[in-house]
Amino acid sequence: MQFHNKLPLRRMIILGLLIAIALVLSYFERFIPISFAVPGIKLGLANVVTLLAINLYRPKDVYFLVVLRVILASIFIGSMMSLWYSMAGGLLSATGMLLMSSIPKDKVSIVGISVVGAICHNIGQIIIVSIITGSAYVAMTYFPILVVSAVVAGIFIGYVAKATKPYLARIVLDHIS
Amino acid sequence: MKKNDLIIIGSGLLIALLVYLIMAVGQKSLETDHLNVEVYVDGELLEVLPLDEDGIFTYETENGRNVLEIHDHKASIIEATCPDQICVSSSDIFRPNQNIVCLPFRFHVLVQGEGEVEFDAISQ
Repeated sequence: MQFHNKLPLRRMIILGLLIAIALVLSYFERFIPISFAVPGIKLGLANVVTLLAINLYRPKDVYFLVVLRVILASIFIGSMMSLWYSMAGGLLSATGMLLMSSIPKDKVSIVGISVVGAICHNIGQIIIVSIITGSAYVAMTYFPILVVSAVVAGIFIGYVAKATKPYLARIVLDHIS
Repeated sequence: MKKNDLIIIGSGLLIALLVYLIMAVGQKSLETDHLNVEVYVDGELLEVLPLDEDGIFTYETENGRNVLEIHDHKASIIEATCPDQICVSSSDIFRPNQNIVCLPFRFHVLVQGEGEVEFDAISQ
């Protein structure tokens, strides 16, 4: 999609819209009770937006979206303390997904990219846990369950993004050109 | 879903299983009859409590308050002033190396056997 050729203002407006969508998704996510195995597990609905943005924007803009979303979400929903572990997860996840998206599309689908993003997100959180508790061992006890739940959530989020993608592309590209 | 997607998913699950097995083997090798609950704030050991004595312990730190209950050889966090309440909804801990972490308050509790070999090399 040749979206970066468009006017910067238009790109910026769509990016702002995507951030707003991501914020609403992370707000409503709290009402979906899925934290059965480990308390605090989330679906990561906001990741749908990051996945879509990766298709439309350059890496710089994707990082901008993630950083802004994490900061705003922790102001509106979480606390300042949750900012750091969301930030670690968000940045690592965006990096993983950007790297994956540089692989040709016929090799890896959006579902695979999503799973890598989810696993990277949870690894980011494990790193923060090990820093805060000062013990890599304590953090590693969360590794198996966090990776398994990341795979499950990642597949789901990947399919949601796959289903949403054509609609967003139509809106973004048709209305802008 | 493409073939490579399945490879990603499969290898993720395999690594998770491997780590789980390594952890499970490590847990089994720790055979002690007397267990303690170690209370950490900011990664530093604050207090060691025996798991066989019931009690309710309140920890007021500059970050917030956590209330730890030891009852029936099990430890749990029954109250916390944090917004997410993840530590409160965590399940009881009673086996060596089980832990509850309260990230917002940088507070965690860990079950350890008495006088065992220090398992955690990195924390020291």
